[in-house]
Amino acid sequence: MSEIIGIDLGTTNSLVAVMNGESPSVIVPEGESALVPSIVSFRYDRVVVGDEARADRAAGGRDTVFSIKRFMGRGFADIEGDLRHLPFEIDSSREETVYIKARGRSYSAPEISALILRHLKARAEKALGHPILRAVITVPAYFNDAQRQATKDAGRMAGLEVLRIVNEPTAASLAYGLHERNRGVIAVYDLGGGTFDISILRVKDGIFEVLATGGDTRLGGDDFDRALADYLIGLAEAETGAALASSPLAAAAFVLAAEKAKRELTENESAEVVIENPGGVTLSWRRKIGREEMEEILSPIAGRTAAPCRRVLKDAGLAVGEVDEVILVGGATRMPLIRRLAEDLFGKTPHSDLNPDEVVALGAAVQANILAGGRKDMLLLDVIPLSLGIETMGGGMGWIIPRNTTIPTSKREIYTTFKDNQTGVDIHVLQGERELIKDNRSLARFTLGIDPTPAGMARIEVVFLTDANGILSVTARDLRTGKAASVEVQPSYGLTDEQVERMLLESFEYAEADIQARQVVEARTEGESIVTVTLRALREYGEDRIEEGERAAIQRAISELEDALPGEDHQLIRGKIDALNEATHPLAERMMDGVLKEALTHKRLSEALSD
Amino acid sequence: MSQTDTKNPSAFSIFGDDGEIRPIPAELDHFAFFSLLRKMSLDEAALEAKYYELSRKLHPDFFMNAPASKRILSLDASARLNSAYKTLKDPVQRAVYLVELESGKLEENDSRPPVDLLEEIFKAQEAAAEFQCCEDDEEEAKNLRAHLVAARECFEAQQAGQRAAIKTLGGRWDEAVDAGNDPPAEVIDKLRSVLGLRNYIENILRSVNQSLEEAS
Repeated sequence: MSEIIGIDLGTTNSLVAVMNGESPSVIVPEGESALVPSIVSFRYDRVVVGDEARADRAAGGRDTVFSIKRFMGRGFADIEGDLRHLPFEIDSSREETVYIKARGRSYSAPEISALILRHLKARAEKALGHPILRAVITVPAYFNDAQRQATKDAGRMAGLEVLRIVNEPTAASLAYGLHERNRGVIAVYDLGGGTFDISILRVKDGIFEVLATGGDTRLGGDDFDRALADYLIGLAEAETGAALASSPLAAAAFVLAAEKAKRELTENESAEVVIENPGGVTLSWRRKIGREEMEEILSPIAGRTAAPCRRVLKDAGLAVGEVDEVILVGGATRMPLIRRLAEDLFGKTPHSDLNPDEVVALGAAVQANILAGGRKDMLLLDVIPLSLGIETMGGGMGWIIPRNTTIPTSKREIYTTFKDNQTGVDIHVLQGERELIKDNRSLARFTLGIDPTPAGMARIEVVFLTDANGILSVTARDLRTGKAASVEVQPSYGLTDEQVERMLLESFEYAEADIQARQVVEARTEGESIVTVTLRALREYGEDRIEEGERAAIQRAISELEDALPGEDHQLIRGKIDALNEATHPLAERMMDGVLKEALTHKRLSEALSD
Repeated sequence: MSQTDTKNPSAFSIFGDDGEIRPIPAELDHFAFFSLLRKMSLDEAALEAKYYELSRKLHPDFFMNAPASKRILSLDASARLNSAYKTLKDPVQRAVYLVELESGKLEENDSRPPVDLLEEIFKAQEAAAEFQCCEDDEEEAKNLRAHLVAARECFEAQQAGQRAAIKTLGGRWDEAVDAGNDPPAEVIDKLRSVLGLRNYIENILRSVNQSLEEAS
């Protein structure tokens, strides 16, 4: 099998890394930069990504999309406040997922991200000389379920099997922990282009145990640029009388100028801002800005990182003095203002020995290597960043899994019916820390399908399982019949499986190799789920109740299917799936009979009771 | 094996004779998972060591290339391991779990606060509610903040007292278990009321903290 690549899919820049012997390295094509700007430009004849697209952005095009990560897993209402700063067009007719309009077509946020991922995939394939099918992708630790799922969808649309979604600060800690056998409590302060994360880990004997994580998914270098741009626009308007704030294209030009000044002020005490005809407005404007002046504008935004830092310490049950090391990650931590702030918060001089732009991608490659079986001595134990709960009577939040619980984790709940012959139970799953559901993030609504019974008789076991990616899945079964109850999922934000499927088909870079890869992935997924269902059925029915010959046939069909699953031949997998279905057919029939009999017994029982 | 004696810690083994992960029965409790006696106190360092050891054997990271059936067993077992560890490592969560295991879920009427404390709670809730809607009046906000901070201290002191009580009662519980007896009914009742009240105060503290955090 080919390598698994590690991808840092950033707000402003993305990188791809791979293991090179014992250590990870970022893939850098000759003559290009390690960083691929996370920008997609829809030109009239083709789509370009990265540096080329960045040039289009600088030229002020309306069909150039950037900072798409801010929109992943969000709905239109969430991002209305951002519109003022965006030169590209958002499709306001779509509520549940953010769609961008470019050259007469709407693209969902995951589709745009998929274009960036494809670019990174191609970069890796070119460097390594063979196709790449599997990846580990990083996300901010504070991303919720919908944002994680959207990232996974993007990977799938890019023709990648996403083996793991890893949190950025934890990935960074893996890269740091690779060589030094360090122990102790580490705080990772990660301020990227659009998101802020703070994670506290305990590292001991190769186990990286996350104790607590916090952050803000709408706080990063972008916000500094915008704040500084607004300040400069105010100055320019006051001096020249030009109307700038009302023109998104002019504002976009100021954002680029602000970003440039911010970079210069990291090294130097002063910088000069030069604005020439921004977004078509006739204006020539220059202004010198000092570091202190900039810091005064940006301090309030930087200060917003303090509260999450204090909270994670409390959640981890630690005092400031118990933190042994502070690691800085993300380009924005180069700013002297941020370094001072981190030092004040943790009382330690922070370090950033590894390049803060690259360390997350390096860590993703390390995690990929762990998953490939290349490293057995290191293990990352991460946590769920936000509590999961369900809607209770009266709109309250009933907690199921509290934040900072180590993943994977599961919780088993038993539900019943309130009305006679009720055929469904509705369950609304949310994520967040507030007491009332209206203040939390709706993730999905489920309807459990139940056989009709008198009120209170049904016993439906629901298992909420959060996997190692921090993504929730729900399974249900009727405890009286042992039968799996159907779970119909309606995601609140994001795409349904069918939508992802369609987007995959519509994808304009759709290639023969992708179809093949996708068919393999899909056959595998189906095969795995059939194996699970069969094993569960065997367990519930009682293996000892099945005749020797039939049991052997089922076991053989399972192991043949399992042997076929890792292969690349989807037709072989499909064949083995059919064979297993055939072998379990008699068992399925008997189980159905059992269900019917039990239902009848129950009926008699309830009739007897009502007499 | 179809029946598992959950009272006997040696009765369940996560790994079969062939060293592979076995399916874990849904009813298996956290103590049985770790092969521990149902006691209030435990060796926390030994629990952590066992947790790390099992994590290295069960975590899905190490089953990426294994057949689907093994991957599923690893995911389920890992999820159970993490829930069990999270519950057992914390003395208060452990006490709640054990009391509920032996004597049923804690209910609303397990948490009746004494009258004087109830008054303090009402005042704090009122202050928290007002605090959120008085942004304009600085003087008023300052007073309410002071009140909330004082209330928080009061509740935290209550919790410290409760932790001590849980420890003492837990000691009596364990003495009985060590002597081969069931925990005395009186100890169970007292624990139920202390733990019920603790949950109640925990919820109040959560909303007080939230009001303070939002305002800062």
